[in-house]
Amino acid sequence: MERPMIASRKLGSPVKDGIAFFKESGYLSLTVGGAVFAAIVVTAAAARLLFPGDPTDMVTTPLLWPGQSGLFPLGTTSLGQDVAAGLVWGARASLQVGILAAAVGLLLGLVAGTLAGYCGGWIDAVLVRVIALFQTMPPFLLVVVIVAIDEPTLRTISLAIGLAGWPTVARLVRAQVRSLRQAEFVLAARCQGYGTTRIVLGEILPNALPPVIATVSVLVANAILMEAGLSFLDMGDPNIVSWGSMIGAARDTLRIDWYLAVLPGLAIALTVLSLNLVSDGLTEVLSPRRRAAP
Amino acid sequence: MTAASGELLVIRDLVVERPGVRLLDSVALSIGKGETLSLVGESGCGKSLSALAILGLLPEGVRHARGEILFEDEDLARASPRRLRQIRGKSIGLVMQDPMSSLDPVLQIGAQMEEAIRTHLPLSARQARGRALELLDLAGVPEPLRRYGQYPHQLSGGLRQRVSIATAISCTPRLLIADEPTTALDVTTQVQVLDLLDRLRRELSMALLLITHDLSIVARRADKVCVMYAGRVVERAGVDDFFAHPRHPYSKGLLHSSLGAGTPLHHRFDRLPEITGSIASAAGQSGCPFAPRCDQAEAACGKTLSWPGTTDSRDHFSACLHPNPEESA
Amino acid sequence: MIKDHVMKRAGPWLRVVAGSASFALPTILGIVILNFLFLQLLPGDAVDVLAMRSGSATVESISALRVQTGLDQPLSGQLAAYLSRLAHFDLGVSTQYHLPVADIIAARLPDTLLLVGGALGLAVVLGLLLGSVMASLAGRWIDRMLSGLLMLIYSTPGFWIGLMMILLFSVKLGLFPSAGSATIGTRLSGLAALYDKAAHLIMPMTALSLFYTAVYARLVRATMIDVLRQDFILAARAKGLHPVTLIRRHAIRNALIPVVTVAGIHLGNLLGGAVVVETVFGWPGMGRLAFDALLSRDFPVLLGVLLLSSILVVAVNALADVLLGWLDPRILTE
Repeated sequence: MERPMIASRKLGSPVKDGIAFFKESGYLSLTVGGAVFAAIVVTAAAARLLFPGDPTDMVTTPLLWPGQSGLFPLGTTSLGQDVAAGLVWGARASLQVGILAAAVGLLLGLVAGTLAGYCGGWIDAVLVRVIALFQTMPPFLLVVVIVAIDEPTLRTISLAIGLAGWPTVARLVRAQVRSLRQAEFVLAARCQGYGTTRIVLGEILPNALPPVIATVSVLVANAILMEAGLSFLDMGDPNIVSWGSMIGAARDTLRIDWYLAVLPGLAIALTVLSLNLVSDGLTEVLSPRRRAAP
Repeated sequence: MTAASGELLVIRDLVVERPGVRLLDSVALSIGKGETLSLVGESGCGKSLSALAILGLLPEGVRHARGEILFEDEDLARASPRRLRQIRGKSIGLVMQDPMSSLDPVLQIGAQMEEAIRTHLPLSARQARGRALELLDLAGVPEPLRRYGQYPHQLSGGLRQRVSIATAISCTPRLLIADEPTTALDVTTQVQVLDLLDRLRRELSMALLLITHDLSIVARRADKVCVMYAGRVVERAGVDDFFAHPRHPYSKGLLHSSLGAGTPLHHRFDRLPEITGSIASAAGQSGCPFAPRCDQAEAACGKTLSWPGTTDSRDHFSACLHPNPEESA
Repeated sequence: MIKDHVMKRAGPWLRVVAGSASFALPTILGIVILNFLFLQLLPGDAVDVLAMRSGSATVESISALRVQTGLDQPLSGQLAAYLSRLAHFDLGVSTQYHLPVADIIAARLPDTLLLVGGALGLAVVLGLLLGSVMASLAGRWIDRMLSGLLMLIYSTPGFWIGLMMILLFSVKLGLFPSAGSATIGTRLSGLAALYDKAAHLIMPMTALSLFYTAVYARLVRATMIDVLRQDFILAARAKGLHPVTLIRRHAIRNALIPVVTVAGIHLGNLLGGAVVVETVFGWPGMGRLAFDALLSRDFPVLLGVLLLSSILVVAVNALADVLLGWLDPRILTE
C-alpha cells in the first residue's frame, strides 16, 4: 500500500523544532549519559587529589551515619573507613576493569568476527562453534573459574570478563562483515586490485563498526556489573576498594547500617545507567534510518 | 448526490491534515451501489489516504479536520471507534497494494481469514473454516484445503493477493476498497486479479473503489473516474465521458501520456517535477496546485484561493478555471 | 490429503531437531574438555586442601590420597577416565563430601531449576506484558515512565536489588523470609509447604529476573513498534479487529521471535547470575554449590555443575529452536 507522505518535521518555530529533534534523535540521552559518565571518570581520575590517603585505612569512629560528621559527609564503615573515599577509589577500580574488559572483548570479538565473516569456509565453521561453546558456558561461572586459576588482580579480572564478553561482539561483527563482503563497493575495491588487508581494514570494517560502537558502552557497563558481583563474593582484588566489595562488607550490618550497602549500589547504578544512556543514544544516532534521512 | 438517489458512499468536503499541513483538501466523491469508481493519480496525491480516511484508519498524527464521509447515510467521520470496527471488514473490505506484506508472515492463511470471519459473523470454528474454504475457492485459489494450512511465504504473489481478496470479501461487504491491487504483481497476474475483482463485484453486488495510477485499467473496468492531484479532486466524471472529453489539463496530460503507449502512468511522468516531495507545500498554497506544471496556466490560476470548479450538464466536474469543453471535443 | 499434509510438515521439523542435535553434541563435548583443562590450571588440588585441613598429613598419606582419588595419573589419563565415566553417567565422587557428585547435584537441581526457570519465565512474561503496553502507548507518559524505570533496573546489579528487597520486605516489613528455600525445623505438607516455598522463592526469583525483564521489555517494545508499522497490521485493523486482539494475535507472536532467540542464550547468564543471588538469599542451588566447590577445590563437583549447566543451556537452546520453528514458520522452509 502506498503510504501517504509524512514529512519528518512539522512546521513551527525553528527553536521548538530544534528541541524536538534533539529529544527524539537520541542526542539527549547521548549528551546526558556522556556528561554523567565524564563526571564519574574525572572524579575517579582525581581520586588521589580528593582523598590522598589509603581508602582502606581506619580514619575515625566506625559506623558514622551520613551527615553525622562534616568531615565524613557519607559516613564511615564498620572498620572506620571513609565511605566517600571508598566510593571515589571504587570508581577507579570499576572503570579500570570496565574499560579494560571491554577492550579485551572488543579486540577478540573484532578479530574472530572479521575472520569468520570474511573468510567463511572451515574457519567460519570452527569459529562459529567456538562462539557457541563460549555462549553455552555460564559467563559468570567462567569468570569465577578464570580468576581462581590466576590470582585476583584487576588485570586478571578484566581479562576474564573480556573473555566472557567477546562472543557477543564476534557474532555482531561476523554478521556485519558477511553482509558487507558482497557489497558493491567491496567488489569494486576488489576489482581495483586492492589487497585483502586493505579491503578489510579500509572498506569493510569502517562500515561494519556503527552497531559495534553502540555495543562498546554496553560491554563496559556489563563488565562493571560483573566486577561488582565478583568482588561482592570476595573474589575481587583484595588490595583494592571496589563498590562490590563495599556492598559485600556491608551485608553483615545490613539490618541497621543499611546506608553502607545503599551508597555503593547507587554508585554502580548511576555509572552503568550513564553508559546505557550513551549506548541507547548512539544506537539511535548511528542507525541507518537516521543516517539516511537528510 | 444523496442516499435517496441510490448512492452507497458520499464524501463531501473532506479535509484531512497533520498539524500545519493539509493532506486532503475538500475531497468530494460518491459511489453508487454496485458501481466501480476508479480513483486515479500519482503517488502521494492522497488516494490511499482517502481510502484510509473512509475506514477511519488514518496514520498517527493525521486527523480528520472537516467534512462528511456518508456510508449508507451514516457519517463515518463521526462514528465511534466501536462502530467503525463493526463496519471495517463487515460492510467495507480492504485489499492492499503489496500482498507480500499485507499478510501476517507467522499465521496460517486459514487463521487470518477466520479472524475476519469470526469477528463479524456468529459462526463456530468449524463453520468459519468451511466459509474460508468456500471463499478461497470463490477467489480462484486452487487446492483451497492445502492453501488453508499454508503460510504466506509459501504462496506466490498472485495467490497471496487472491487470499487478501478472499479475506476482504469474507463478510460480503457492500463496498470493497482495492488500493492499487495489482501494482506489485507481474503483468499476466494483474489481468487475472482485475478480472477476479470485477467478477466478484458482480456476483456479490458490491461497489468497488479501485485505486490506481494506471489509466488503462480504468477504461475497461470503471463506471466512474475521479482524478486526484496534490490532495484535491481535480476531475470527476463517468468513464466514457472522461475518456471522450477530459476537461482538466492534468487529466489530459495523463491521457496523452498513457493511452496509446499503454505504459503505466508513473513511467511517463518522469520528466515532470516529482510531486511527492512538494505535496505538503502544494496543499497549503493558494491557487491551483497544478498551475506550476500546467501549460495553460495564467496569472489568475496562481491567485484564486479555492476555485470551486464547474460541473457541466453531464455531471462532469472539473476544478480548472478554464471550462473550455470545445477544445477537448 | 490431510495426512499427506502432516507428513510433509514433519520433514522440516525433523531437520530442525537434527540440526540442533548435530550442533549440541560437539558443543557439549567441547565444554567437557575445555572445563577439564581449565580446572587442571587451577592452583592446588583437592588433596592439598584436604591435607591442609587435617593439618597432620605426611608425605606418604598425601600420595596415598592421590592414588586413591586418581590425581596421580597424567592429564590425558585423568581426562580419558573422566570421559569414560561420564559415558556411564558417573560424575565422580566429591573430594569434600565423599559423596557421589551426581547425588549432590541431584539434591540441588530442583531448587535451581525452580529459581532459574522461574526467573526466566517471569522475565519473559513480564517483559512481554510491559513491552506490549509500552509499544501500544509509545511516546505517551506511561511509556516514558516505564522506559525510564526499566533503564534504571537494567543498570542495577541484581544482587544489590536483592539486598534492598531483604531490607525492605524482610527487615522493615517482615513480609518474606530473607534466607533459605524452606522454613527450617518445620514439617509442612501440601498447600502449606507450597506456600512456604513460594514465600522463600519470590524474592530471589524476582531479584534474578528483573534485569532480564528489563532486557525483554525493551526488546519487545522496539520489535513491536516495528511490527505495528507493518502493512499486515493495517490489514488486520481493516478487518475490524479490536486493538487488544490485534496485539494478542499479530503483534505479540511476531515480537516473541527475537525474545525466544535471546532467552535460550540468557539461560547461561541466569545460571551464572544465580551464584551471586543464591549467596545473597542463602538459596541452596547449583550456583552456590559451584562456588563452594571452587573455594574448597572440589573439582568433581565443579566439573559436574559446569557440565550440567552447559547441558541445560544446550537443551534449552534446542527447545528454543523448536519453539522458533513454531513461532516463525519461515524458518522451517528455509
